[in-house]
Amino acid sequence: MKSKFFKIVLPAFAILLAISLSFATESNRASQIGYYNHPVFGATPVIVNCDAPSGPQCLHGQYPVFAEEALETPLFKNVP
Amino acid sequence: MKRSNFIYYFVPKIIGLLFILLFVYAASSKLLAFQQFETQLVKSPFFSAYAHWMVWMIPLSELSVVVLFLFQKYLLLAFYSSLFIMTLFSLYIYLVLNFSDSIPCACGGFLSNLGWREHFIFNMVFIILALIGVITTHKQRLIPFSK
Repeated sequence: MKSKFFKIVLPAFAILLAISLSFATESNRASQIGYYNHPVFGATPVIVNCDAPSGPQCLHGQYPVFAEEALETPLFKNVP
Repeated sequence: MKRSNFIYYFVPKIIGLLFILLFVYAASSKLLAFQQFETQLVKSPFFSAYAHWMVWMIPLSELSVVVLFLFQKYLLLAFYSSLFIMTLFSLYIYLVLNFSDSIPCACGGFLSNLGWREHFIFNMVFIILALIGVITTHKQRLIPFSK
């Protein structure tokens, strides 16, 4: 019984938990790549959930996020 | 059950479960956000030329290791494979941190929210766990299991 628990039940539970977690985090996950101006590395890609046409500015930490590497078009945060 | 037997019996199983959780989560997150993952690999300073096949190879290799963890006779191989994969990922992070200006993270799920240094520490913890898994699985095979 103990052996079956370790061989079948727990691995199956771990796999289901991992898949559920990945779905849960992906639904909250950012949907596009933006770029922010890193003080050392310059334009640095970051995944953001910012495709609203207007609204609060999209930020990565304290840095504003832009649509392209040239850092010209600012992105706006999706407000639920 | 003797205390040493208890450790050598349960520790590899618990570490194996942690690796199953990690690799299934990482692989399914990458496959769910396939397009983004591919874009991140294309932008990667070292893998851009191989991005189109690595985008499949990375999650498939993670899932292959998970399959190994499901069978007791492949447990040692699973720990060695995990050690190899985590070492490669850590080496990539080390190279990116030290020799590259462009640092896109081709990671899955919440791992992409970690900074590079946190990610490196996270990988180091799993490398140590894989090493403990290798050692305890070796010992488990040497010591006859008794109740």
